[in-house]
Amino acid sequence: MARRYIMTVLAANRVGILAALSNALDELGGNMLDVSQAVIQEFFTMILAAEFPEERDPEVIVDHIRAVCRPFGAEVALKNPDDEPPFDLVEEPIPRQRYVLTAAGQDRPGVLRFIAHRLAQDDIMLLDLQGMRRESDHSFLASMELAVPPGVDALKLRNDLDNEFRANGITIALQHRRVLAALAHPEPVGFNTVSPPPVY
Amino acid sequence: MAHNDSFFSALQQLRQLPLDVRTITLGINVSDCHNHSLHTLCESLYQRIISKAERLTSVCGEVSSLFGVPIMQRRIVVTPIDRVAQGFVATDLVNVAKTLEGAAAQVRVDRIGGYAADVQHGISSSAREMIASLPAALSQTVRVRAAMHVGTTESGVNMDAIALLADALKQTAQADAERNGDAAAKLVILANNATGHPHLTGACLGDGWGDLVVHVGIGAASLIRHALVERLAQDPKAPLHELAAEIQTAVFQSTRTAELVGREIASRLGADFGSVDVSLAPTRRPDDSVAALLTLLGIEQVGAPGTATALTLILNAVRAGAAFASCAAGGYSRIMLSVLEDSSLAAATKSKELTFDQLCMAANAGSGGLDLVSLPGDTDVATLAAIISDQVSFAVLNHRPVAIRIIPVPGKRAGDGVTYAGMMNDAVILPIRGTGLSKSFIERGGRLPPVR
Repeated sequence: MARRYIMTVLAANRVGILAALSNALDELGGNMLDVSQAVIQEFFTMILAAEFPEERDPEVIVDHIRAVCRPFGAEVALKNPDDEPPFDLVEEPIPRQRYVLTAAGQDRPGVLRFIAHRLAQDDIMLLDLQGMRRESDHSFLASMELAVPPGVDALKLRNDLDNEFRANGITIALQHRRVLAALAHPEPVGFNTVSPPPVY
Repeated sequence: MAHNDSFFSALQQLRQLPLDVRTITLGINVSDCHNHSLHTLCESLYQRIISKAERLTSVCGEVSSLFGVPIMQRRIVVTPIDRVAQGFVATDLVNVAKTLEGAAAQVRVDRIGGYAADVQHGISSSAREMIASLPAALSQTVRVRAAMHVGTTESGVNMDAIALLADALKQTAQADAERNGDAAAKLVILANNATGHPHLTGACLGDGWGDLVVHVGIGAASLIRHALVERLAQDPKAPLHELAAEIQTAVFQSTRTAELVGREIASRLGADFGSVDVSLAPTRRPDDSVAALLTLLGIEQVGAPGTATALTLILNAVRAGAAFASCAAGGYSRIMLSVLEDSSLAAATKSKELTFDQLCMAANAGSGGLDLVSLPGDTDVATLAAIISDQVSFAVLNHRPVAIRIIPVPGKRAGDGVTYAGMMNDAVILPIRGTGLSKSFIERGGRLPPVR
């Protein structure tokens, strides 16, 4: 019986860090289930879900990774999902729709805060967020993937955000995943984007 | 760096396109509604339209919110009424038109087409009655659009029909004199184009489209303008082929999105998906006009030498982009120089910089004919017929479809301003040179032989 842990690793970004980390996991008998890695300025960051043998002590895991990745100054944090209070996962009768929201323009404080509050108001879940600020001209770009519950008017949401930010020269785009698929894939539209018709 | 400048440019690809779907057209087969009793015919027409289209408006709303794409107009087209309502007199046909109007109002669509007949070879007695019914049918309804097909390259042009229609057109305008002859704008005269063209004003459900079909039309002017403005901001001296490539890309993107919207609506309505039409039509966004595109390309005013070249460049790029985007697109693309709907063109008529001859020239250079042009109300029927037949014969000669909508505005003369409810712009009536000089030609009647 394997045990699942969620871990974050923060280390100096130098060649060999992933090799060292995967060595350490291998020696611990670990196996990655899900991983997301990014280099944020000078740092290598990774969030992963991994399984380890039942008997492996969490402290041993953390210590061993720290030891193997010492040249990179790795910091490891580990959580056991079983120790956390369970989420109220309500089975939703109509699946959420996926959208990609991008915001771009001159950076100013509070943009993300406004967007996040507006999304929370409509019970919209954030699945993915990426963004950066370009120092040369202080412009920023953020892109997020949303899971939008039924009943939210995408046109209205976009207009609300656009009205809020247009005066500041920030442009907002909100596009359905299927629209993006239609634009990005050369196959005929009917082949790459049609999902089964909704149930009435 | 997690994110570098290439991340920036990749994300910028996701900017919002100023895309809107200009029309969603639901084609409904009503052929089997034919009946010798007028009452039964009207009742079954009404019930058929209601039953097939009652969810159209709500489904368009749902899909519009889902994809974040506004839908400007909803239309219905039915089988040509000339085929369904055979053997009735003009007053009966006016009642059929009112039935269509009532059904369209009930399901909240903006237009209903199908009040149409094919007369390219000869005029059947039913078609003759239908032409006679036009003044009443069009002035007493709001949503009904009529179409008459008068010629093709293969069959030649029916000049008798054109003369009859010119007369009907003038009477229609007169019957609606208090609204500046608005009713005349609801009649379109077609050539090379069978009345089944699904994207035209007044179109009907053509042959071979099945029982229920959804067509989608996009007004590409705003998108193309957006693409050109961005390109010219980077490189103000960009050569024409690069601008053509920009237009192609913009049209590709909008066609893909429109097809997605159309297919979703079709699947929710249980209908077939028909076709995508990318036409250069002005929209209600400010500065959105075909004339403004010409300005961006460097033609300062519509009608100046070079207009034909620029229109050809745009139309070819639109067709190429649409054809690659979708196998349901491309065939119908045209440029609509609709004076009353295009703010730049309307302004040009006011400043007297645009003449009727220049419009005719532009119409022959890639646009689909004279669209929503107001003419002096005292223009005689023969001259109207000659104007129509000139457009038709150009189209027939060039194997190109044409749609003509002209309004002889009752009681107004060249230079007077006209305003219409529901149209974007006021325009000034353009003078026509040589009025009344083609009378004996038109009075000869007969047919133009096929072009070989």
